[in-house]
Amino acid sequence: MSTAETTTHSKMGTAAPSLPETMPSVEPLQMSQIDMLKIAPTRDERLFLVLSIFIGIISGLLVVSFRVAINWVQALTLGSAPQPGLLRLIFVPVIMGSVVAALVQLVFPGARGSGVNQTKAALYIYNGYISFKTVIGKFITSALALGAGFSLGPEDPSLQIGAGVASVISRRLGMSRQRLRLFAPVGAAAGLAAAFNAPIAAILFVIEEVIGRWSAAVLGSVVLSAISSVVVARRFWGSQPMFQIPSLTVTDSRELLAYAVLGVIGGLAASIFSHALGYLRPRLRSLPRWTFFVQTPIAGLGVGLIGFFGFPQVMGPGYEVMNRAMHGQFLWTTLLALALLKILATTLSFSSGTPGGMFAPTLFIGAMLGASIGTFEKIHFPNLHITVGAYALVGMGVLFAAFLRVPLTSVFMVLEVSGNYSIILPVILANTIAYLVSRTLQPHSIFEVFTHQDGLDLPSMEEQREEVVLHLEDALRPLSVPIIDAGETLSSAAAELDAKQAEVFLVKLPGHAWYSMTRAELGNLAVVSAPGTVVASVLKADRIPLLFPDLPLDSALPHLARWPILPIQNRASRGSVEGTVTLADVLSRYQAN
Amino acid sequence: MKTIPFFRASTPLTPAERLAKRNLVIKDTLALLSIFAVTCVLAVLTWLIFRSYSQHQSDAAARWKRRGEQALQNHNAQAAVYDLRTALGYGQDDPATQIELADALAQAGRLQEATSYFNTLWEKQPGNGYINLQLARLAAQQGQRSTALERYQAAIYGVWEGDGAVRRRAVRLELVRYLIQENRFAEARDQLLIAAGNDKSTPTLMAVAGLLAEAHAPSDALRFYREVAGRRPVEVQALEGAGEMAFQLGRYTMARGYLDRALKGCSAAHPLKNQALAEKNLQISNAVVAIYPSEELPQRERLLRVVSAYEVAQKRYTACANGDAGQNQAPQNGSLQIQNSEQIAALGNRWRNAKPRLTVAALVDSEQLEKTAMQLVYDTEQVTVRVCGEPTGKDAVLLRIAASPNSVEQQ
Repeated sequence: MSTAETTTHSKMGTAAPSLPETMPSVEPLQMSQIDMLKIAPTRDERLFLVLSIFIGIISGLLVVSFRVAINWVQALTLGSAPQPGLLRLIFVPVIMGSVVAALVQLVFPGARGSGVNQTKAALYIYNGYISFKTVIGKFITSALALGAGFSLGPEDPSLQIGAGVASVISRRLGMSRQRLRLFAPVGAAAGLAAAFNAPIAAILFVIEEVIGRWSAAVLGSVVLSAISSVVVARRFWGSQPMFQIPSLTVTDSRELLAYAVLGVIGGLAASIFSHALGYLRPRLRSLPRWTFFVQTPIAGLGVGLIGFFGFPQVMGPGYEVMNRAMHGQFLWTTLLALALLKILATTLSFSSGTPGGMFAPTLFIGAMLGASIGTFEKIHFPNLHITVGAYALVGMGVLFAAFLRVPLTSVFMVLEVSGNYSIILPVILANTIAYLVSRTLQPHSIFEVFTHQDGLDLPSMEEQREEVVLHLEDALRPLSVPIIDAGETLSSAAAELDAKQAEVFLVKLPGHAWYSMTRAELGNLAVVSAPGTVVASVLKADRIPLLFPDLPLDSALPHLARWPILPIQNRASRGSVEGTVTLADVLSRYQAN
Repeated sequence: MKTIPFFRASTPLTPAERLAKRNLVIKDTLALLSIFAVTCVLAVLTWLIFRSYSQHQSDAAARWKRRGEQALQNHNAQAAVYDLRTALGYGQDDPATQIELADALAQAGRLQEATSYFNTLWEKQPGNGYINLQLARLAAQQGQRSTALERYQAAIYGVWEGDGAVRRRAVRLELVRYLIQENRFAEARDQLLIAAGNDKSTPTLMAVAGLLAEAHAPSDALRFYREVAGRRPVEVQALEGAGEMAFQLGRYTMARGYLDRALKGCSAAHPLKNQALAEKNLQISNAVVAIYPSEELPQRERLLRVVSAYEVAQKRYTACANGDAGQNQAPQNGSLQIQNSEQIAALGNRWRNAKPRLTVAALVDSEQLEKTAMQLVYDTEQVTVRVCGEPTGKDAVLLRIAASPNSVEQQ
């Protein structure tokens, strides 16, 4: 048991319950003295699964309350129907921005930002630790900010709230450090799934962005928690998808070109959005600390002015506006203006450090762009059977893929929030194009940019995608060492090796098994063995594991401590050797990369 | 030792370890129970908050919807758009509010928005008759003929709530009006015949007949007016319509009959559509019947009418040829003038070759002469009207007969 684990378990309390009379009196052991692996070897693993369900349920309930809180704040401050020209559109974000800034600076410093990177940092840096205070702070400050019209979304805070719940619960149960780390993504998936009503997208996002790699250890629990939270959320919001659009049939392949155009424009818009945030955020963060108290109100003023002078739709998360865009309620010029103003409003809101997420603004911008292009094409290309709602939906996926750099999540997100699988072809096409365009213009994902701006270095799947993965075939050498049959005698084998001046050789065994050894080893064996002893009889019991050219290069490393040379076999022809690798081969290949 | 599956141990435990293990089990159980309790409390709180929120949402949706409907009733479409949009913000899935909003947009003159909105509604319910009808109207307003026609057809065959047959008929008649407006009379006539075939009620046949008249199909219109006029109680407007159609078709004897009955049967309770016109057309019809040389008349009386018509036409030609009747005031191009000159010259030749004075005795001797004489009369009236302008008096009556001499007494 590691020191850290011991320390963690030492927090579990030591009060011994009174013992039954039949049991001998035994001095109870302190938890720090207990070998947990001995008395409860599977405890963590099983509690992990049980707690995942609880985390999902609690996260779901909190996220529902969070969304309701946002709506209540909005109704109480901005009114039930904000419209241009109302002075409260200016005053409310400024006043509420001041309150939020004060809370974040003085009481809840951990509530700043979106929550995704904080969760990721908790996973990789703080052993999964997210304080209960941060959870409360995130809930309150985000609800106030979003309700007051700041152009941010509730999903990322929901993700952090879920991760925080998981962290609190897992600490309460005294889980091991390894498990504590894994709980953060479990909760994150639950929070996001409840916020989106989209469990698959939430799971994929957590894997793509939070964990940054596929991890079998956490997948089961992530799925359980996400499903639990979605069940809870659907109990309240209903099971219908977030956006409802008619079934789409692409009958004319030319229409795919229109979606491709959407992909290109979405990629460009994502790049603009990303660059704007990447430019403004570090500059505002580098200002003196006292300015943090006024940055949020000033951002609120900016957003409020946009609303006051004609575009209150950009205020708040904007889901209702997205729905209206899908129902074709705006002119294409209005939609385009909304997309651009949302980029501006979100850049101001987020860069000022206001708590709130990037998901909803990303979806908003994508929906407006998509609907704008769809409406434009519907007017100018009436022969194409354009469905504006479908374009808006694909636009959402496009921005999601290009801006957040989660291509897989973006596809499933669109399918889940619409419940419409007929749209998959345009979604994949447009998302891929947008992703490639965006990557060309901005190599790093926005969360990675933020991470670097904050002085952190966290792993990401985006980085992994960039990495060149080496395989055994990259270090493979043609077979040049002698092959000795296991039935040969030691003396004949030694003679053959002497003749070929080979230092190492392979032994071919029955059943397509292989063995390798050095000439020196063989020589030693020949000295101590009787004449006529066959090679097979002096070999140790172990055999070289099966290795194939397509396996990762590092898969050979553990075996090279035991074997001087490894035969790499053909998958189609058992026993057939394609080549060999040695430790020197592997190392030189890594060094050459 | 009995193995607890949750804490399976591979090696025997010491008494201290067993105790620690039991403590761990109790502790974990209590922790899980406390989490369960927290979950229950949180669920109740969330439910209470959510219920309050849902109530607020539905109240707000209903309030804004009422305001929107009130604004629509007050013909304040812009306000209705705002109110209904807000209502939809609180209850997005209410299709009735969605349609009301689209209507409000259309009434507010925001045609593109309304079209776009209805298009989205149509994508959800492509068979909805009302949505198709609204799209047809919007397309018609925006001059999109093919779309309008397509949507009208879809509306006719679409799904309607309530009395579908009545609504479909109304839509068909609206389509007919649009077709007439677009001068697509043949298509309009086809639609009207279908409408009449689907419903033989008096109001429908009257509407169909009226539209057939507008669609330049007086013959069909007459048929339906006559059908209604034959019913009891007699519909004076059907009599009037039949009279007017018969008059347009040159069937003056029939027109006289229907118009006479219509005028006699009309009252304040049963007024005619255009009594003055009916009276005027009855007068003309009477004049036509009074000079028309009907085969039904006794020979002498008929031949006297032929002689009289001959003399009237001869005078008309002479006056026209001498320029006494005045020249047609309408501007004429060169080729038309030449054509008219040639026709008046040809007519002059025919009059020079004709008998200068026609008598009943001569007509009795030659049946062919009667036909030739009446043909000369009709030709004279038709040529002189082009050269010398509209005639008056008996010439005007003869000109009407000349348009279709065989129709005058057609039943």
